[in-house]
Amino acid sequence: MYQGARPWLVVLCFAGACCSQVATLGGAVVVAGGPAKVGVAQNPTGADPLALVGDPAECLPRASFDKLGPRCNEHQTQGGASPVMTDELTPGRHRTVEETAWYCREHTVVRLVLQRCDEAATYRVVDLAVSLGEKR
Amino acid sequence: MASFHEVVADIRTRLARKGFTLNDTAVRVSFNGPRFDTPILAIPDVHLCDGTAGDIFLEGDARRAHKLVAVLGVIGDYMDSQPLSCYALQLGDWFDLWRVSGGDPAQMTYGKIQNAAVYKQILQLDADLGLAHVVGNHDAGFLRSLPDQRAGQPALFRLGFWLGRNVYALHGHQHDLAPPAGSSWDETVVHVATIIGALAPGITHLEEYIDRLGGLPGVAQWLRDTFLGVRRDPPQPHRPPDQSLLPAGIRAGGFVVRENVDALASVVDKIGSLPASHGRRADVVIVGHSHAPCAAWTDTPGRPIVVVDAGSWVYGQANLLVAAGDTIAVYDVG
Repeated sequence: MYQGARPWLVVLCFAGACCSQVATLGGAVVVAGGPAKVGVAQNPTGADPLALVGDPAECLPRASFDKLGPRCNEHQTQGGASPVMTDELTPGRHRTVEETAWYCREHTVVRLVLQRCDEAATYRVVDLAVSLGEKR
Repeated sequence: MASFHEVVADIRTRLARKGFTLNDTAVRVSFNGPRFDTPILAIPDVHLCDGTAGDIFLEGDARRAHKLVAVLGVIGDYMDSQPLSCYALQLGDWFDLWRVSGGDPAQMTYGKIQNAAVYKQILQLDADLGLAHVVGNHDAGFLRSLPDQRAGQPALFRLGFWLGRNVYALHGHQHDLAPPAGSSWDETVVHVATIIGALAPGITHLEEYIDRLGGLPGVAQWLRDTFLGVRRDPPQPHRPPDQSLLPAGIRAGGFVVRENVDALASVVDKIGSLPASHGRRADVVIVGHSHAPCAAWTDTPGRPIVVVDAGSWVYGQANLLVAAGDTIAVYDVG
């Protein structure tokens, strides 16, 4: 995602042993997973991980993430509605806190968990996972 | 507590600022005393499809989407302006998964709806509001898989909600849709009609017949009317005026004899009898499903229960249910 000397968005993935158990990515080879940060990248240096300029948890409009590619037309379920019919709805807004976004291109699937930063509907990435290839 | 007139005037003013009007329908019931401590704003069946020719919400007219954006925006503005806020919910069939996926999918196979560019703003407002959704028959797939932006809020997608101690909301199909076990006739016929409608937009009329008359009767009536060259709209469900005396506790209201009212009241009465309902008892039930707004009542459970059908957002309608203080009514956004 880095383009020449022009600062650009980069997603830093801390791929560790904590790879997310993500939907259709489960069962496939996940090459990155876990917490992620979004920000403006510094120039790459050697084989070092990319560093970010300023606040590494920059919040962006949701549409910004669509630069990752086309959204999936279908993917594995992440769970369904509550079966409870006896609860009372709480009055007022229930603004989303976290949302997901899925991107599919050929054999690559990207799943983001986006956390709402503010009322203006900007988001930060709190989880990113990428799978390559078919399900095992 | 906001009065009904105050809430309606507020909503009407906010809509006018966006260039829309809030028009009366015949559906209005007033009680002898307060029934709705917290105002209720409810959007009935929307049936978002994939934005193409067979989309019965959009009908090829982007202004339909703009109207829904305006209403969702007004609901949000109203909630922000009121210290005690209100209940805001959508009464089921938010997505039309039958039309787009051909049935009740177990996986998220309806990206064509949530990725449709024409619905981007609607779905963002839905997430901004955290709008509660009753699960209907055309979006029963939500029971297995939620839209991506709302995947973290399963508690806001349910088969029914209490709205205070005496009002219950559900889609209303629970006793209107009883296909034989394992049958997917309804899903199939709707999907086929949608495909036909997408290939030949003039035939989307078939969908309207099926929606209003049911699968087989709808197809039969459509064939007959087409063969005979009939050009009138397919009929709404036949609902004669209810000539009986108004039940106790109701000051005024235009009631009809609506199908399945006894069954719906019984369903809600049984929900109220469950320990987890903590003693709530409905005297007002809010539904959608039939697409035809109306008010009816029954005393089947041993006390009067008013059932208000909020209408729909398909085939040119744009209904909004408003309840506050002592009155509940259905409007059409023009």
